[in-house]
Amino acid sequence: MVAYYPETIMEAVSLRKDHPGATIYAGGTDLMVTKKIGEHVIFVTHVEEMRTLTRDENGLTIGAAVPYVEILASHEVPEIIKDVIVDIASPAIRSRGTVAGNICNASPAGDTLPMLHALDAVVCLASAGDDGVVCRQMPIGEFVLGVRRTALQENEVVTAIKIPADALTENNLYAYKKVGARRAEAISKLSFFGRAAFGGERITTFRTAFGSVFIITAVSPEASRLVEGMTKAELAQKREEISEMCLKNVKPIDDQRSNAAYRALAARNLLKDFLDKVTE
Amino acid sequence: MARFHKDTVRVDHHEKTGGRAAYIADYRVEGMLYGYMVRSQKAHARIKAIHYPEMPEGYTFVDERDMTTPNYLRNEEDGQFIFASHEVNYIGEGIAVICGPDKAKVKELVEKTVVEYEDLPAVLSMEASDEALIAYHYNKFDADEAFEKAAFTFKETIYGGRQEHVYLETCGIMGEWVNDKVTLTGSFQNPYYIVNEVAEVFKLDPKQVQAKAAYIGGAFGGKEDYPSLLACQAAAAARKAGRPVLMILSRKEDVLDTPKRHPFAITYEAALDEANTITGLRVRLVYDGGAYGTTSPTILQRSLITCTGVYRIPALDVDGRAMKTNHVPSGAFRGFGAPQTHLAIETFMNHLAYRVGEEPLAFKRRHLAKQGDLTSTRGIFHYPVIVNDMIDKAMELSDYQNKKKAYANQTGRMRRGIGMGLSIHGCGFTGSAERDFLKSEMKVTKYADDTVEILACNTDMGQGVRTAFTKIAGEVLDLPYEQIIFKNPDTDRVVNSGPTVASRSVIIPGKLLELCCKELKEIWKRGEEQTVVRKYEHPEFMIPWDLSQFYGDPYPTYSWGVNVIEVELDILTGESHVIGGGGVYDVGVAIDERILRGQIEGGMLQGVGYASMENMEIKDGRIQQASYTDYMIPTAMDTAMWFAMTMPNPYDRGPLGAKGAGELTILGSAPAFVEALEQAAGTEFTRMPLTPERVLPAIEEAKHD
Repeated sequence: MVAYYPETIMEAVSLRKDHPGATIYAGGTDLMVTKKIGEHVIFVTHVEEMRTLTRDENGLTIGAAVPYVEILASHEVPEIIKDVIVDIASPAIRSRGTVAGNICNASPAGDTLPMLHALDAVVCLASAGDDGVVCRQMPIGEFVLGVRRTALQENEVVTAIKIPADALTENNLYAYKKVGARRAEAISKLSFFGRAAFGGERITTFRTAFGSVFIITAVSPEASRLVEGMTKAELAQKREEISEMCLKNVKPIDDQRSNAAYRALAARNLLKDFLDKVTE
Repeated sequence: MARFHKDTVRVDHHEKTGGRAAYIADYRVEGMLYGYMVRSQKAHARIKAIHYPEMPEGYTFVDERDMTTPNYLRNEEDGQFIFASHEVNYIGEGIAVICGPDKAKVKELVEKTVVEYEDLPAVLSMEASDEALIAYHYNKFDADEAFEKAAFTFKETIYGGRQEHVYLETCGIMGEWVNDKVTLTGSFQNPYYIVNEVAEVFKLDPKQVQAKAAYIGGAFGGKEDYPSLLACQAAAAARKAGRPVLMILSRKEDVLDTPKRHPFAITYEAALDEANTITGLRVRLVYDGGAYGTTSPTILQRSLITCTGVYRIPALDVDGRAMKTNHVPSGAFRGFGAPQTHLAIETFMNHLAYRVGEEPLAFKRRHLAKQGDLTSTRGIFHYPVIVNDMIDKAMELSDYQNKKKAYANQTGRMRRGIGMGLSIHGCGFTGSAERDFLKSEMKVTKYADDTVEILACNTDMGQGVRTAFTKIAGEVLDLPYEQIIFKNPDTDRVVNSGPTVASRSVIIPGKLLELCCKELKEIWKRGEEQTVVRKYEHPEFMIPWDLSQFYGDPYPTYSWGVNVIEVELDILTGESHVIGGGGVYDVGVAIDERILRGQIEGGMLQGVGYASMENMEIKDGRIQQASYTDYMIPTAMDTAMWFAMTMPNPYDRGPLGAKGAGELTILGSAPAFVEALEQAAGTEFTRMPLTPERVLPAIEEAKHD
């Protein structure tokens, strides 16, 4: 095994260019479990540009090498994000693990994924071009493709996650729940993140996202399209139809952690509670 | 307060926290090999052939063909083999050991070994089994008559699942032969079980077998009898290899192959008179015993003896059986058959109280046993029973009555409940075993430098027996604790003070220790070496135990517990968590208050886990939750600030007034949790553990009722 410690994004992407598909190691909390570590390993922990957490008028940018513990400690990060982060694993894991790693691990049970979907997060990717670093951005929904499968190219590195400012204003109503078998160190049986934003009488944004109930996060762009522009009363009227739409991709299975019937029932209950709050 | 009550630093504290304590995985001996097992992949199959890969120089395999002496364990008649011979009876059963100098290479050779099987019909649930490993039946007076005269009867079946010990350290033993003597060093509760088993199997004089306990990283009963099997496997491997062989189970192997708490179905049927007082009880208990009997008979005895919990039941008709299945053997686990019956009787009593329109606690209090009452087996509660006072104390500390009222008829998403579990634990080994089989001895030697060594075989698996014994000796001899020595036992040096099981260490060998020290104090001569030995004497007041009738005193006395658990339930998801509660215990007199608080908090949490999240299912013979990612035990985040106290009730035949404590603490929190959750959910449960997968559909159903 050859280990590399780049200090800039340029160095990191050059390494990925020279060693396509080389393992990118941020916190390592998933890699150490899977033990699927390649011949070439790029430790991005020392890349200063990837260690920053910033909030400006465009929103929140979480560097790909920022561990969860720093997100929890930051005054720039809204409580709703911290609510999700603090439910992840244990203090030891949170001191090493990263949001970018959680995304790239692409587990159906990834704890941050429903939140990132509902907050319209964007993944920032970089690669080495002829004249330096080439960047592109991709919505989270396009980035995660399946179980352990992402759109990350062999020569690319995830550099940051961006959450738009709109998703973090006080105008948003959130609902979040992780269902695990216990209160720490538990892989989720089911998770839910809902968000609604309002403009005057109307609902301007409507997002629901379920984790651990399908190979990827179960979202419903159709429901978003239908609800956005409605008044609360209109939503209340079409509640059944919208509810079914939101649950369309909730296709849970029986496994060693839970069963399909339970997951479906709890998902329905959490959605119902969210709709109650939105239409209140 | 006497010196011994007070918190002290445990005698093994600095070695353990400083990393100096050597656990078996830390042992390295010149020429040592590593041994790993080839294990059954089938629930029930005939072994047609075993194809080993070519063994490199220095590597060897060991299987039933190497057993010139009997290849079976002698402890029960059901023929558990040391190396599966011709047939496998559960997934994970050991077939052969491969040993060699490089761990990774040994594992690779194990992987490459191919066992050819011919499938046989497997019994995949206790319901499907028609063969009992062991069965008992007893009557106390005439239960049929009680039912004939009954004004009201109520019948219900309570079900419960498997529980895994989750000790921090997996099982491990090193075997080493020097000439005709074999030494077994490792992580086990009972050094003399190892000596006797290995001597029997390898046809040796017990003096040719030495068992040395390493530091033990937890056991909870899981290292009671299983290590005897592992010791025989390690001894066989070491004999063939001609080298010391260290066998340490991987976590997965430990989950697959070591015993679990018996899953159960217990049916209670109660007869009540016009005053709603129980006059008779019929009990039908069924256990999944797994493939082999191991400790099932004794566990079943304790279960049936304690099937009435803390209550006075005039007439009984009790039947119990452990069914043979093609599952991993069920076996010893803290409480030893009592957690199952406590979960069942307490829950049944609650449901019965609801049926007769009485508040559960009031109903239970009317039925409490008291001093002088007959026990379930027509023995006698010889000593004062203070459980009524303990209930008062627990109610006061938990604000029980107010909360019980406040949590009635709740609305909203988060709902609370509170419940109480009452428990009793017979102190010592069940029945007449102390008198007839164990016949414990104790030896204390004072050296010329006036230090005193306790030469007993009891092992410290984290429960604190080394500290407790040190304190007993120090207290009686009026010496500083530093002057007392009590090492991890080595059977070449210590006497057989009996197994470290059944909450018996303090009450039986601990009492002998007290007597030895009293004698030593009388004959004490400064600067001289002196040795005192005592043998167990059976208390004369006990009504002799008759197993064939389940008649008499199976225990000299009992420890008691009252637990309160308060929960909060999310009715959208069925998730619950503990927000309060605690325990009040009568353990006679606590030898060390802090150790006991540790026992209480740990035991209570293990009980809550048993009733709530600890879920181990076997599907088609295969354990579904075979890793600690999937088999969940509560963490520090899943507990609450609990009160944990003892009420003194000195026992004159216990050292310094002490009774047994270790197992008792797991019994009451589980049913208390169930009662609390029933209140929060507004419904009744009969199938445990109460995972959200069980709770949520029940909430939904209750809505529609």
